[in-house]
Amino acid sequence: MNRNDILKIIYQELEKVNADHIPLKEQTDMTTDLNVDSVSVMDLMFAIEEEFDVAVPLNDLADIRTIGELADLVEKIGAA
Amino acid sequence: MGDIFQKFEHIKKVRGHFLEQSACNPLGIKIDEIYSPTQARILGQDCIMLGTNNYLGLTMNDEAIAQSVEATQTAGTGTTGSRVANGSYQGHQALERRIADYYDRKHCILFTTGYQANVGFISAITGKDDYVLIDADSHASIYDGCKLGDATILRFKHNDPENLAKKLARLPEDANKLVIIESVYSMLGDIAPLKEFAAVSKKYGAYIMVDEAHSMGIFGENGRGLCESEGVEDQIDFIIGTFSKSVGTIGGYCVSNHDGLQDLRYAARAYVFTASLPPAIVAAAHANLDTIQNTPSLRTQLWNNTDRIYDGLKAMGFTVGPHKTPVIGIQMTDIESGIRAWQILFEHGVYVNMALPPATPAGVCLLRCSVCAAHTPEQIDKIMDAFETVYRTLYGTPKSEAA
Ligand SMILES: Cc1ncc(COP(=O)(O)O)c(C=O)c1O
Repeated sequence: MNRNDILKIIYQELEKVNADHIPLKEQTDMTTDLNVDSVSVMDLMFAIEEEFDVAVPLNDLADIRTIGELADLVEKIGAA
Repeated sequence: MGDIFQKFEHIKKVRGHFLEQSACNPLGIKIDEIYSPTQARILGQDCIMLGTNNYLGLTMNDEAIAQSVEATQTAGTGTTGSRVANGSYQGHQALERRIADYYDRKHCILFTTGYQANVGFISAITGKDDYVLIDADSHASIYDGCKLGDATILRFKHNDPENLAKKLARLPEDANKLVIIESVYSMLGDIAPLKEFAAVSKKYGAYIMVDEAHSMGIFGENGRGLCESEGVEDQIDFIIGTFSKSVGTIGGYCVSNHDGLQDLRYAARAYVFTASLPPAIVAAAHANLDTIQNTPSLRTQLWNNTDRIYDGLKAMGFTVGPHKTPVIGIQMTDIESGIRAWQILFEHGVYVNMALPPATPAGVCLLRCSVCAAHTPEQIDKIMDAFETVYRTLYGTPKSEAA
């Protein structure tokens, strides 16, 4: 799987809940920059898991803040 | 020094929105006086309570009140100690035996609340090499139990046994796995496919726990819950319950046939490091449990009332949850119409709870109604009239009329 593909899905899913239309970048902190609740961030994982056939533990998600970090995590789990 | 409260700004903004829009804030309601399980005075106004978890109306059961007064007189107002120290009275032990017998299980362990039952049970029973698989719409206490434990936590899609199977299939065969679901979900009142979940768990050698908070007292011949009515009790390893809904008081428990449940008395921190239930509560729970088991007519009454309210709201055109249960979550299109609806209901003397994300699934605003066995036909008439006014004000002619 390609990191850019992962980013594309993250942007696409986050855009659905990004009601305030805050520009999304790799550095965007999903926990503070976006007015998106934690449940929405968890829910976007289902789309990613399906697309890339991975399972991301909630434990790993706890430390993730930016979109770039999330992409790194999915890439790492996918490669394992 | 920074502002440590800064993190609450976002949630305050959302909530502040409410205050601006309404003279009285649905999220800051103070109840002046409780008259009965279905009636109260709120901000000087008499209301029918359609927003409680008092499904069987047992909060003022004469027998429970009498027993609880007597328990206070004989054993005092509190135990001032943990179950593992000075807080394990004869009443606690008798209640645990009573609950175990009620469920026909070998073991029961009592907690001080249902929240603590979930947190204590989940965090203690799962270790570093174990896996916990939880439904995405799980109650906060389930999430918190996971957070406090050391296991790897995986979420599966809400009420989706196939998604659970996919997740289980990836896990090491010899690892301990615990699947956690609720039977009736507290916001939309939707029901879990228990048989399918039990079958998937069995196929992959996983333990399964069911939280019956919103189904105990409501489903099953004896009122044990959805596991009883679906006939799957023998396939469920652990059942978690609470006294704060149908039982009409406070407290939580876990029942199981696994002897290891007793080890939680040492391992579950939410059991060890908190005071046990006061004698009055133990006595009230015991009395109400007897009433629940011995009075199936309460369930008949509750379901009759549920038929009227759920069917009526659906016919009018409101968007209700997919299954008919006494938990009725009406989905509003946005927060504004939710507040407006709430206010109209309140002006008509009907109180419901308002639920907002993140407590609600899929970010919706809900009018969370709960039916009570003690609602009278006249109260239900008033409730339905109030909802009709809401519908007319927000959406126009009710569908039931247009048809
Ligand atoms: C599904 C579920 N589990 C557990 C609880 C916690 O119950 P208690 O009020 O006993 O802490 C609740 C109630 O909020 C609930 O809805």
